[in-house]
Amino acid sequence: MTVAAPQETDSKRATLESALEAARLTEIPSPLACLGVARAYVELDEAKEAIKWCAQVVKSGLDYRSWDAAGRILKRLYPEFAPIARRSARLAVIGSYTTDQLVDLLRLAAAERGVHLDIYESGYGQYQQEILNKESGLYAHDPELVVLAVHEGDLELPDYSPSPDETVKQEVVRWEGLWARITDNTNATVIHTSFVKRPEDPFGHLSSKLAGSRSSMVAAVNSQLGDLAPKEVAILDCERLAANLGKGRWFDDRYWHRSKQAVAFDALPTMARDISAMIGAQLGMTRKCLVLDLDGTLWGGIIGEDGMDGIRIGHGFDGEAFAAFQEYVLSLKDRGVVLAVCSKNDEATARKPFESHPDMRLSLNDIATFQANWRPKPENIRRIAESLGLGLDAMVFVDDQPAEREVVRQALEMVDVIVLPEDPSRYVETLARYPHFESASYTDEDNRRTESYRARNQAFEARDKADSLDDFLRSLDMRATIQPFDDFHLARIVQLIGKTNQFNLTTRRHNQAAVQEIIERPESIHLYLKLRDRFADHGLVGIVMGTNEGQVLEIDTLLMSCRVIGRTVEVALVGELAARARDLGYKSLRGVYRPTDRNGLVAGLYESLGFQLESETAEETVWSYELDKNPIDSQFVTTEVS
Amino acid sequence: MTVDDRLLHIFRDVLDDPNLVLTSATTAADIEEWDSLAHVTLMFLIEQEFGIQFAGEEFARLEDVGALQTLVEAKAGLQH
Repeated sequence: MTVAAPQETDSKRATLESALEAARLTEIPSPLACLGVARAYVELDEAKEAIKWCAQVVKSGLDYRSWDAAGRILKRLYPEFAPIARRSARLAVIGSYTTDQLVDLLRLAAAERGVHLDIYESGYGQYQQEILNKESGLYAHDPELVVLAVHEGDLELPDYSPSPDETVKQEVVRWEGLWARITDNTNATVIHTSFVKRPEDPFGHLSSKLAGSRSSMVAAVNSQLGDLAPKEVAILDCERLAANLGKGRWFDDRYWHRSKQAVAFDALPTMARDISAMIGAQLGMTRKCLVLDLDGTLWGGIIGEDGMDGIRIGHGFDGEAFAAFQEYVLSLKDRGVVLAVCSKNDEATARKPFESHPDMRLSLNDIATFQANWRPKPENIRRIAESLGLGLDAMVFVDDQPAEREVVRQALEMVDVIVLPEDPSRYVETLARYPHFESASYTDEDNRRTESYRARNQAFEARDKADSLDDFLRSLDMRATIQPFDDFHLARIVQLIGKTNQFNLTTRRHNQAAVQEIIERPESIHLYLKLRDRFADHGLVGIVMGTNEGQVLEIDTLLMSCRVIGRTVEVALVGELAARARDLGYKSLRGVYRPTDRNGLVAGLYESLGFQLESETAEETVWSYELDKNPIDSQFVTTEVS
Repeated sequence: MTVDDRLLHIFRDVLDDPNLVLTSATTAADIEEWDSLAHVTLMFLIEQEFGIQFAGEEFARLEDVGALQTLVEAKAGLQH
C-alpha cells in the first residue's frame, strides 16, 4: 500500500468533514448524505465507518437508488464487516426469479441490524432443483435460514378451475413437499415469500365471487399455506407489502420480460427490510419493549400545564388521533410487546391521566414500568431496561420531540428511535411501519408478558426496599413446576431456545426437529420449569436438556428467560435434573459454558452450583458435578414435580 | 457532447466508482462492472430519473453513452 501524501489526506479529511456536515442538516441524514459520508470514509480507508454509514441508508427511507448504491459499497467492504457484526448467519436465497438485487439489499438491511450474512444464492429459477437434489449447493452451504423467493407466476394454477378445491390442494401439497425436503435435509428455518395476487384478472370484479378464478385460488393457496406452515417455516406476507406500496409499483412487467425480475426494483427495499426483520426474529433479536413519551405522544397538550381537562385525548381537534394511537399501542402490548413510560414530568402528575382520565385507552396496568421525573431520558431508559431485565438492544423509544430523540440516539446507540411525524393522525401508520417487533411465533406466554414484566418491576422495587437479597427472594414466595417436555409446551420451548441470549449456557439454537430428536434419545433428560410468585404467573421460563454420554449426563442446553434472572430459579431446575440423573444411574453431570457477547452473566453459574472445573479454553469451560455429593437444593423456590 | 451530469451520477452509483469518467464514446466493453446485471439497474434508474420508459429494443445495450444520452434527451423532450 502506498502512503498518501499529507496534502492528499488533508483534502480527503476536508471532504469527510463537509459530508458529515451535510448529514447533520436533518434529524435523520438523507440517503445522499449517508452515501457521501460512506464514500468519504472509503477514500480514507476507514472501512468500519464506511459500513456504518452504508447501513444508515436503511434508516433514511426506502429509496431504491440509494439502497442499491450503499449495497454495492457494502458488498465490496463485506469482509471488513464480519469481525464487527453482532451476529452472523448462513443464509441461502433460492428463487423463481432473478434475486441478485434482492440479495444485495438484504445484505444491507441485515447490516443495519448488525447481522453478517454468509449468503448462498441459486441461479435464477433454480429453487426446485436446489431443493430436490440432495447434492445441491443449497445443502452444501448448510444454511441456517433459507429465503424461498417465489412469485405468483410460478404457481401452477389455471386462469379458471371448475374444481378449485382440488386444484388449490394440489398446489398447496407441492409447496408443503418442498418445505419438507428443506427441513428434512437441513436445520434451517425457511422464509417463504407469499404470493401476491396480480392486479388484473380476466373475470374482473366477478373473480371474487368465483372460487375457481385464479385470484381466488392464489388467495386460497396463501391462506392454506399459512395454516399449514410448520414451526420451521416463516411466511413473509408479500400481499401486505404490495398493498402498502401499491401493486402498480410492486409489479413492473417490463422488467419481468427483460430480466426476470418478478418484484419491481422499487419494491425491493421494503421487501429486504422486512426479510431482515424476520431473520432478526429467528436469531432472537426481536425488540421487546416500547418506551413511550407522554405529552405530545400519548395525548395532545402538556399535562403539567394544561391539566386533566386541558389535555386532548378522545376528543378535541386531534384527540381522536391520540386515542387511535393508544389503541394501537395497546394491541402491540396484547401481542407481547412490553410497554414502559419515560416522561419529563412530576410522577404524580404524569400518572393522573392513566388513573382517572375517562378517555385514556392505556391504564397503569398496561405499563410495565413508569419513569416520570426530570432526569435525562437516556438515564431513565437505562433504568427501564435494567428493571425489566432487558438489554438496551431490546428497546424502542418513541417521542414527538426531536431534541429528546437526538439525545437518546447519541447516548444509546443500541436503542431504536422512532421518529413521529408532526401530525398525530399519522402516528399509527408510523409505528406500524417499524418492522423489528416482528417475532417468530406467538404463544399464550406473549399475551401475558406485560403482566409478568410488571411483576418483575414490582419485584425490582421491592428489592430496593427489602433488607437483604435473601429476604427479598423469600418474600417472593416462588413456586416452580418442573416437568419433562410435552407437546403442549413444545412451541414455547423452541421459542425460548431460539431467542434467549443472556441466561444461556451454550446458546445452541435447536429448532423443533432437533429438540424432538433429543427427546427421543434414550436416557436423555429434558425438563421445563414454570414459575409463579405472589405477584404473577410467569409461565414457562426455564429449560434444561441433558444427553447420555455413558455414565455422564451432558447438559446440552440450560437457559432461563431474562424475566426471572437473579432469582435462583436455576438452582431448582438443575437440582431436579441432578435428582433425575441420579435415579437413572448416572454418576455425574457435565456442564459446558460457551461464552458469547451476551451471556457473561452465567460464566460463573456452574461454579456457584458446586461444579468442579474440568477444562478451560477460549471457546468453552467444562464443569463436572459428582452425583454422590449433596443434592442441589433451592432455598427460595418450592418445587412441585410430576 | 458533454455527458449529462445526472446520467454520470447514475453510472457512478451503479458501477460503484465515484471517480468514473464517461465520454460519449464510452461503451459497456470499456468498463468491467458494466455487465448485463448492472445494465438493467442503469436502465431502471435512468427511467426513474428522467421520467421516461424505454421500449423494446431501446432497452438492449446501446452503441455507446452518446447514443444513450441522445435517446434519453429525445424521450424526455430535452433540448441541447
